[in-house]
Amino acid sequence: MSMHRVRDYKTEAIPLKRMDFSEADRIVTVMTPGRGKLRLLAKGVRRSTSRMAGHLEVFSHAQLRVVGARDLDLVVEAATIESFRDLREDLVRSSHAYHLAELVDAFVQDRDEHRAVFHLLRNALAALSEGAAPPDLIARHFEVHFLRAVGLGQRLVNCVVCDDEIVAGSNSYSVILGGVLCPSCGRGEPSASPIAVDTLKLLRFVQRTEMVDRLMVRVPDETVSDAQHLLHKQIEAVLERRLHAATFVRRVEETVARYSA
Amino acid sequence: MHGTIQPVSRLVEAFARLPGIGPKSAQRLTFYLLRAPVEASRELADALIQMRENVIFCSLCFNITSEDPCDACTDARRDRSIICVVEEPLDVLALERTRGYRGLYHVLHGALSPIEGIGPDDLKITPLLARLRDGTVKEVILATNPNVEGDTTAQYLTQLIRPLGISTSRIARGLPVGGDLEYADEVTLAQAMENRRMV
Repeated sequence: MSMHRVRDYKTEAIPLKRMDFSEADRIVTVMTPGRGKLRLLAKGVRRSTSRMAGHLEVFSHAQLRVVGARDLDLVVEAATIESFRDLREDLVRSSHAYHLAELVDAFVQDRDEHRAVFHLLRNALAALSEGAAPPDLIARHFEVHFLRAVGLGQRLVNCVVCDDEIVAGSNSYSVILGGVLCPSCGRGEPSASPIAVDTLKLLRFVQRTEMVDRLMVRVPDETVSDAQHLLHKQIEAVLERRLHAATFVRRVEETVARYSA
Repeated sequence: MHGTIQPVSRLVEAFARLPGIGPKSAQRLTFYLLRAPVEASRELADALIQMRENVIFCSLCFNITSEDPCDACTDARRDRSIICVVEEPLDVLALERTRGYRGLYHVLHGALSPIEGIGPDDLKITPLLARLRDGTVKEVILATNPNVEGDTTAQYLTQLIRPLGISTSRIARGLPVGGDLEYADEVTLAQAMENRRMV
């Protein structure tokens, strides 16, 4: 059934990616609070004198006025609400922002309302820009809460198979089942791999910490890296493809570490 | 294309595969050529073949050229101590039109776009670093586009170039000629204020 299309509307938006189109136009994919993900046509924005170009940069929070059209709705006005400039000017932080944008682009369908995802993304970009927590922890926080928002929340307190409470011990995690397994259920599950106590503790802490700026904790790099590995495996299992931007994040981190050593 | 004879529909489909050309534009171009003198079609076909057969990429700067190395790389009057890094061959043309730059170029053939899976290995970054290692180059001007992807590319290159002891600069940004202060975004405006010049 075709959705009723309003002719003219205003919306907040966070551009996720852009594609050059025609002589001087771009197709901008944005995440909005009330209209989900939208693909919008922005005319003339590749010209240096464009009034809108600077307001449609990826990872900025903008207010748009859009006119409905037969194929792609047209952006007619754009004004920046928050540019997250500090994020854009830092390679490590911006590499994480690409990763968040890729997740939203991959999981959210066009015109599928998702307020929780919009606010998670906005808060994560703000946290990255302000340096509210280490960038990799902000990314893990986003992944955990994002998975929950799209209906793929991890089960970390009770066994995903028998529902018994998980106690410290030889537990395992299944990226297919999306949760922790107790030692006895883990033995019979081919998709289960061992999970370290500290990794599980970190995931639980991140899951129960709603506010991303409360993540100012000292966590060993290996634990964050373990959690990242597990989360990315789970996301890739759902998407059935590799995560592009995550590969770039690793490359950037290696480059920065090599040259700052 | 239903109801159209095969040579016509073949050309329409060929045009429609080009970037920025939709099915209607493809039809218009095809029917224009059908009505124009046959020489127009011959000239277009010849230009296309010549372009594909005679244009190559310079093995040093990766700009398009008919001879390798290209004119800019072999021009003794150019300053060999400066390399300007751009995303596309069209950017070289734009900078040459200014007549204000007399150094060398390096074309990356794109910008980093991690969300689309375009990473460092997809750009001409390794040949750039090889050019920088012979000690001739003293400055690299990063002239990638002034947007997030261009900035990411410039920041990534800076990480790689800085340890070589070569100074890196980023092209200035600010308000465009013919622009309007009222409509400038806050990042552009802030940078225009930061990079202001005494008059």
